[in-house]
Amino acid sequence: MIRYILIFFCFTSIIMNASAFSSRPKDYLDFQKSPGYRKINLPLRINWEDIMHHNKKNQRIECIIKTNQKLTEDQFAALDKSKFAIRAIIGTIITGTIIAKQLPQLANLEFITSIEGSVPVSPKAN
Amino acid sequence: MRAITLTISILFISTLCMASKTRLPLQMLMNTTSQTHHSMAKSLSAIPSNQLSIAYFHVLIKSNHPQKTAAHISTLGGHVGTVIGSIITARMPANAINALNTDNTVEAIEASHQLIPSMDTARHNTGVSTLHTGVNGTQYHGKDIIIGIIDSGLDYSHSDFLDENNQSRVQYFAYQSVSTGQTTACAHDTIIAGTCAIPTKNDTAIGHGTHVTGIAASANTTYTGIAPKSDIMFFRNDFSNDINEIAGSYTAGLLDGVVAIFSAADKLDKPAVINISQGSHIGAHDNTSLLEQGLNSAIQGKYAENGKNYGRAIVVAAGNEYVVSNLLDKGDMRNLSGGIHSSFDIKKNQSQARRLWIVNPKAPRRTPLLIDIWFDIGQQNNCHIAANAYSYHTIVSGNVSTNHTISAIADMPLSEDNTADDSDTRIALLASTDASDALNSKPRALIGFGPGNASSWTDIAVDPTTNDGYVLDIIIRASNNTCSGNMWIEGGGTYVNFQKNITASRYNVSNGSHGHGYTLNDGDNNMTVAIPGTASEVITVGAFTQQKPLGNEQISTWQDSQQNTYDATDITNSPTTAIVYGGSIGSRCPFSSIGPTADNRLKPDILAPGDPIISSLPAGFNLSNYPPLIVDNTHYKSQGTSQASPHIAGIIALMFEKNNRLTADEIKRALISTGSKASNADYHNGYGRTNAIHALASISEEHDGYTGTGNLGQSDLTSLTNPISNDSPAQSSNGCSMIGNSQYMPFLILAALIQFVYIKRRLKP
Repeated sequence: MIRYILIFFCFTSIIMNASAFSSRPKDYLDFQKSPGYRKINLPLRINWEDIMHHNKKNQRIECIIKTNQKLTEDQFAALDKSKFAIRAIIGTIITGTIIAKQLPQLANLEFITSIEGSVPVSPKAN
Repeated sequence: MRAITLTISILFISTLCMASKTRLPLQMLMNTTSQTHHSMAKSLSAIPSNQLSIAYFHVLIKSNHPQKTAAHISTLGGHVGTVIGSIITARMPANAINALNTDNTVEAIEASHQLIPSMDTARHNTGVSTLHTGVNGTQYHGKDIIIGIIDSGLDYSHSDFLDENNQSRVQYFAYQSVSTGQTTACAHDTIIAGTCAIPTKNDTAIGHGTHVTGIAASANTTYTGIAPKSDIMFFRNDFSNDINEIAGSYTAGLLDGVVAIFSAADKLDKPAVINISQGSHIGAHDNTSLLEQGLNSAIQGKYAENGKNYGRAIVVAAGNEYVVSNLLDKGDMRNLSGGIHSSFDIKKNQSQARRLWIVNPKAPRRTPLLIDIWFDIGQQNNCHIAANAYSYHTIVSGNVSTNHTISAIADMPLSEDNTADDSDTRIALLASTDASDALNSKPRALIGFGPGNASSWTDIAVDPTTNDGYVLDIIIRASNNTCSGNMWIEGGGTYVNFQKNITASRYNVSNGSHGHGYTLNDGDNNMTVAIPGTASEVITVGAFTQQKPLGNEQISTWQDSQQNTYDATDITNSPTTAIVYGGSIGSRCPFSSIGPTADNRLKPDILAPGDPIISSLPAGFNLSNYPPLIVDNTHYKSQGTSQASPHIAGIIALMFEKNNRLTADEIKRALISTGSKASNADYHNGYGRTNAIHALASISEEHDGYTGTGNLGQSDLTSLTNPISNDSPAQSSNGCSMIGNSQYMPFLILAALIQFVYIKRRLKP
């Protein structure tokens, strides 16, 4: 119950500070035209657009990425340069966080095939 | 051999019991540890004969002439079990006890039931108690096998997790803390030294994780876990008690936990099985998400043979999203509750809708609710979506009209990046589309549905004292050709689901601009196994209602700390604080999610006890609003597939103890080939109830894989971080490590959550 109360308050505080917007920011439109945009799943697109709209460009986003092969040293360096912070590596699946404004750069790395936003999971006790 | 061993154990204990000569009242008969035949007979004489005639007792009898006594037992309607020396085990009708008492060959009679509660019931119902006692002279307790748990939190100082020397069996405890930007981890040496800096008391998030861990690994003498001598590794994937953090566990955290635990297991050179009792319905449920792919790839260890890694397995709870319509208190509501899933297959130029309803005052578990719609590949040009939200004052009679429309999204195509929203003071809506998902090429639409300017679902309740509420019609239109696919509600369940059995008389959407021209089709419970239980390489566990206590196949009860008894199958007569879901003993629990997966694979794989389950209660976990669940100061009752899956994790630990070269495939094969429905599996029950005895009997004995017997030290953790990797030496990645780097702010998790909040944030004022 406390979990949901906390969620509730977080939602409430964010909503109170949120302002509506009617058009997409330029950053989004530019990214949308790039090949990397199609690698990002729908929840992450929504999340990123919102963060950029509210000018929180340095906010970190938790995500899971997939690469076309196990990372080489050069690819590690490329991830580093894109500001992607690796947390765990499972073959070609990698968890980590990315600064919001760097997401286009990360998504447009050739060896990255897809990016999935990290989403909540719930306990399975009734 | 097994029977003999068991009997010897019983006789040994019974001898001790008989020696104590304690006299106990009748009501303790079923629980007595020791009772002379005289006191037992005297007590029974007080029972009216018509009641005695319906009761049977398992008894132990000491006889000075076993052959005569056995014959007498038979003439009294009893059944002799085993005769060893002067001791006879028998099943006797209660009204025959007095007659047996007069037999001069009988020296003592003892009720045998107390032996069973000392092991609790789930281990008996799975056959595990026999494995603990010993098979062919070998006992299995999970010694030097790692049980990894990824969950909400753990009271790692709980006495249930101590070994025979009163030292902790927790080898590794990792705590992802976004507020500090660090993952803190304690190893065995710091835990037993009492210097682990991670808090364990007064943590409101630790109830679930501690209960789950206790089922798999508790060493408590009464509520013994499946693998009571196993090593425990725990990865805390929950942030709900961190100030400045936002509650919740996340998919990336599950992968982090799997890698961390398997890496630590490699360090100790021990086999490991990981339990995940968390899940989500955001995703295609078809094995293509990166979470599913990641778990499928994560079943790796330091050893492999013929390309197959062995000594590693992952178990996942199936989910509790099967709608329990009997919990709804009105007949019409029961008839209308469908499920959190619905399939659609719409012909060209036709439209269909699904009606999601919220039964107030039961607030949904997610704000907002998400409806994740996945269309079949190549149909992006065939399909359009729309949504209408209604205030629903007459939910029982079922009539809604356009007069009640409060928010709507007009017909929109599934183009690459289409978005629309609408709201009023109560309900807010947002829809967004993707023409082709990068992972499975399926078109996708997400619809968010939540309170508008108000703060919560309860705030917008039409009348919290009634079952009125809100409904959302999701309309799918096939334009150029057939439109087909599946949709799921994230945050749904018994009180939030797609309706079924909606006849024309139940709704009125023909007047006005919204909802015109569509028909309402049913929701259902199919494909409700939660992600990542849908992953192909994990073992997915559903729940069944277990017999409890033993001795009567028709009873599934538990007792609280005040000795009040509650029936897990009796919804009608149980107080709401008891949390009862009904069902029948030995069958799938009514809430346990069913398959198949969206790509038509059979899930769940196996069933294990899921209700009622008594396990470890952490210190500081407040259950004061649910007194019937409190069994004693350190144990409580719960239910769910969360409780079922650690039973299987524990059984796998016992399997590893017998053969530490088993691959995940071999483990799954052994489990499903020995399930109660091995020859007639279905997507409700998988391969049926697990049988640990047969599962272990089906595997050979090998011990030359992992050889570790030691403990993890804090110094061992260095190589497990920065970054965590299970398949390659740690490679340098300057600046790319979250762990130990404080520059990463609390927004890490906030960012992930905001994707849901976003739906509300961009709504019109």
